Parts: sequence; C-alpha cells; structure tokens
Amino acid sequence: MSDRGFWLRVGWRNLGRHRRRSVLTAAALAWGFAAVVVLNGILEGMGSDFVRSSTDLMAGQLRVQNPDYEPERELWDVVGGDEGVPLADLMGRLRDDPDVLGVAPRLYGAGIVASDSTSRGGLLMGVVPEEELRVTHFLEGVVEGALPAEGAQEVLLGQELARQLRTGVGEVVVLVAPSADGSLGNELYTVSGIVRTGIPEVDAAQVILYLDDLQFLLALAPDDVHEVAMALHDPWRAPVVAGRLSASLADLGPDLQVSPWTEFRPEVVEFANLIAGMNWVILVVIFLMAAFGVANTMLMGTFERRREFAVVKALGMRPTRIMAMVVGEALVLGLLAVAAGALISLPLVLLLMHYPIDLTPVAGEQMFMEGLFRFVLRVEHSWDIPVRAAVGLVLTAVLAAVYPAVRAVRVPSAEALAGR
Amino acid sequence: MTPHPNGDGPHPAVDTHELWKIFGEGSTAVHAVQNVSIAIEPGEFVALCGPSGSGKTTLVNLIGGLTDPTRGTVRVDGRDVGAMSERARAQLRLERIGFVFQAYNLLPVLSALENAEFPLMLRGAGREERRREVSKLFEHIGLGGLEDRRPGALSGGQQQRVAVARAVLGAPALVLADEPTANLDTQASDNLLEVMEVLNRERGVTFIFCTHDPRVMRRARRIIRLVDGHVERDAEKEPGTLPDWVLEPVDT
Repeated sequence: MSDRGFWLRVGWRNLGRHRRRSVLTAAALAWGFAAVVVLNGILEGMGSDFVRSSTDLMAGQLRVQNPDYEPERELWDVVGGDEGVPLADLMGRLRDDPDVLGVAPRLYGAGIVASDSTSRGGLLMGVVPEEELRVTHFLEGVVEGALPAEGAQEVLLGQELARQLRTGVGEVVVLVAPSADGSLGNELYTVSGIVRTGIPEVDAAQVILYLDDLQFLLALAPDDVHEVAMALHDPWRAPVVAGRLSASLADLGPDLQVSPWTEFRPEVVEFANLIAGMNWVILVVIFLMAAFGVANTMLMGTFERRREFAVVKALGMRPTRIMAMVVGEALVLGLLAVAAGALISLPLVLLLMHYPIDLTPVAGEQMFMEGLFRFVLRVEHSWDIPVRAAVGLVLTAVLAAVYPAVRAVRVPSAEALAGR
Repeated sequence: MTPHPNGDGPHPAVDTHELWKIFGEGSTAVHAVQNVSIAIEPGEFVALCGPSGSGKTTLVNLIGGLTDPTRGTVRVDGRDVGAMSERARAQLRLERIGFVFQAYNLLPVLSALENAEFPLMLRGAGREERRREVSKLFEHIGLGGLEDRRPGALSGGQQQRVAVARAVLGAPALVLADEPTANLDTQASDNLLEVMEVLNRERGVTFIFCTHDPRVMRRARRIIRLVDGHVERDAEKEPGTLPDWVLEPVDT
C-alpha cells in the first residue's frame, strides 16, 4: 500500500461515512458533467451547422478572387487580372488540396432581364452547375424545370423574379448587360427552370446562366471568372487552407487572392463566437453550482470531524497534509462524478451524434445570415468537450474543497479534543 | 539530559516557566493553569494527579503545543513551543511526542493497525517496518488478531490499547498520556504499563501521565499534584509506593 493509495483510500472511506450525502453530491456533479457535455455538444453542433448553412448555401468556405474585385465588383477585375490565369490549371491545383471538397468557378454581372410583358433589374451569375453543386446548395432549390445546360442559351430565374416578370419555364427572356468591352450585350435565353434559394434578395433578382454563356454576354474570355468558390471537408480549417493555398498559388501572379469564410463572412464568425461564449457560460454556471454542492458537503464533513482533525494535528500531521487530505476527498468525489457523468452522457452523445433529432417539423426553417438554418439536435464530434468538462469538474471539486480544508487546518486542537 | 539542538548544552525534556492558561475573560475567566514552573528531565516517569478540573489535561495540552499559554513559557527539548509556527509544532509532535488521549480518539475510518501505524507513516516509515512494529506491539498488549478491525468493532479497552500503541510506536522522546488506563481492566492495564516501563527504561522515553489511577501512580517515580491549576506538591518517590498525600482530598 503506497502512501498515496492510503490517502485515496482514506478519502474514499470518509466519503462512505455519509453515503447518502456523498452519493447525492456525486450525482449532482455527475448530472452537471453530463449536462455540460451534452449541451456543449449540441451547441457545438448547432454552431457547426450554422457555419455550414451560412457558407454552403451560396458563399462557399474559401474563395479565390482578384484582390481588387471587392468591393466595387468591376467586370474586368477577374481572377489573374489582365494577364489572366488558365482556369483549368487553377481549378486543378485547388482540387488537389486534400482539404478541398469541391471547386466552382463563378462570374457575376448586372443587367436588365425582360419578358414579353415587363422587365426587371437582374443579378447575373455564371456557373458550371455540376461544379457548383459540389460546393453550394442553392441550385438544389429548383422548384420547376431544370438547371441551364451548356451551350443551350438557358437561364434559371429566381422564383420571385419569375413571378414579377410573369414568365415561366420554356418562355424566352432578354438579357441586356454592360459588357467588359464597353458595349451593351444583349441576348435571348430560354427559361430552363425556376429556383427558390430562400434568400429573398436572391430569389427576387438572380439570373443564373451557364458560365460560358455569361462570359459571351459580358464579352469576357473563356478563362475569365470573378471568383472560384470552394467547399472544405472542415469549414474551421478555412484560414489554414487559405494560407497554404495563397503560398502555393503565388507563382500565378499578384492578382489572385485566397480568402477564408472567416474573412468574407465576419458576421458568421461573430455568431459562432457567440455560441462558443454560450458554451462557456453554461460551463461556468453549472460548475459554479457544482462548486457550492461540493463546498457544502466538505464543510459539513469538516464540522463533523473537528475532533479527528484535532487528533491528526496532535499526531504531527502538517497543515498542508491535512489540507491535502480534505482536498483529496473532493478529488475522489470529482473523479467518481466524472465516471458517473460519462456513463450518463456517453449514450446520449453517441445517439445525438449518429441519430440527430430534426426539430424542423416543429420549429420550421429559418433564413439567417444567408443560410437556411434547420433546428437539428446534433452533437458535434469533438472530444475536447468531455475532456474540458472533466478537467473543469475535477478542478471545481478540488477548488471548492480549499475553504473547508483551511477550516480543517484551523480547528483548535485542545478545544476540539475536549468536545468544545 | 538531551543535548540542545544548537549544541549549547543539555535541556530538560519539558520545562515550564510561570505558565498560565486562562479561558475566557473578566468575571467568567477560568484559570485552568496558574503559574506552573516545572522541569521534567529526559527519562522521567511522571504522574500528574489531582481532582477533576485541576488543570492536568490543560497542562498536557500546553506541553504538547495543542493550545497556547496565556502567559509564561513551555519548552520541550529546550524549544519554546509557544513561539513555534503551526508547522514547526506539527514537526515537533511528529518527531518527539506521542499522545494518548482521554477518549481514545481513534480515526474511525482506519483499522486498528492503520490507526496504530499512522504516526509512523507520517514520519515516512516503510510499510514493512510499520507492520513489523505494530504486529510485535499488538501481540504484546493483547491486540493480536484485531489488526483489521475498525474502532467501532473494538471494545473501549481495546481502543485504548490501540491509542497507546499509536503513541508509543517509534519510541518518541516524550509521551503525554491522558488517563491511559481509564478503560482497562487490571491485566490489560498492567501489560500496557509494562510496555511503557520498558520503553522508559530501555529507550529513555519520558512519560507524563494525567491519571487518577493508583496503579499508574504506584509505578511513577515522580508525582506532581495539581489543585485548581497550581502545583500543590511535586515529589519523587520509589516505584511501587503510593504516598498518602496523593489521594488526600482537596483542602477546601
């Protein structure tokens, strides 16, 4: 029996003297631990879902642009500048990055879209639909018809825009847009489909064409794009991947800039930080309650054992060791609670990790920060949460025992031995 | 006489000088120890006697540094206990003093063996050494076979013997014992006192007993009688004898 083993055993036995009280305190701590683990996991999952929904719908998680493109968004500020870059080569290099899930080139413009009966201002967007679908979800919202096909002179209209134009699938519309060469481009297009993204300003103005068709309308070269959007396996790695890609693409010239979503969607970062902050608040509130529970249990134990503390002092036990004895009991209590809390929370965490509960039928979908947010109870796979909670709980228990331990050290020996 | 730790000559094992302990203040003040000046040399076997409330336990607590004197000094091995830090007092008690308390005061969560070896463990003695010492003494004082019992499963007498074993194991320089035989039958009491006498004789351990027990007083070689906190009489005697004045009623 080592001395350390002896003291842990003493701690264990002392806790066993008031079994009901110790079990109740440990149970409260265990539930606190489980609540922190499950709630933090759900919030982490919500935060992750939020980041994904805010970046997956249209924005992408990483993008390559000409550094001069934002905020004026001039037509001629294409990726690679005047020299341009071979688009296929650029996309190939981006796809080769192990963090990159999909790569989608984009071209933007503004113009007038006119039907037989009326006209409206339109935001033009040239995409390669099959590439775009690997990066974002907005093209999945086709409610009627189909996506524009390559070389077919087709457009996909936002639902509200189509309604205002009083047009529909199979009808013809005219696009008129200022071109990069200073002329006014105009072409006839067939409406291939109607899309509803859920973003009101997009649905009321978006005109989506095949990339080649928009390049032709705007008098731009086949490799000219304003943006290459990317999806990543892990959105939180965007800043790291952006740095790595910036370095690896440096040979393509200065007119090319890689930005992570954390830069071009700062409001999403702020909201994600708010969720992380809520996690800490939950952690602190629950552990503060746990601290009072432990302090109460240990204080009662200290009062009841005044005579014993007086005895061990008389036998020559140093004050620091008496403190260690009391704190050791709290440590045992904390470790027990972590073990019990893990047993309680693990099944729930695994369940919500693998079988999320979709509350959309009850809560509905919410459009928030250009993302379609669904209320899903899902625990994000993140092992630092239980580790952080376990360390926090044990530390809480230990710190909460410090005051009772000081009281134990200060027990007046002679008076306590005399039962006073 | 033990040599002084600083090497400036020998000192009594215990030396009190004009020692006072007053509990409370004003009209409710209780003068538990009044102007006690005694010197007890190393190797003495001393009985403190006197009626209940005469200050015996308080004097022992003062000597052991369990309470601070109101006035005066108490020195153990030449060191002023009242001037020591709590940590230094703990170290002094651990290394030099063994306690036997009036009410056994065993730790209820420890077995008899663990209670007895507790101070040895605090001193850092190895497990084997501790177990060997405890087993030997337990056999001698009739506790063999009871090592694993918790205090709640021991009789009063057995608990008292464990408490004594805890105090004398490791042969401290000084043992302060408050009514060590109060709950023992004659045989157990004699066995225990024999152990103490052997330690006193062979290892020079100083014993100070608070006692009402004539058996203890007979074995003592010096008796200090306290009345109302004062030293009424302090005299050496032959072991085996019991002076008449020891048991005389207090003159009111």
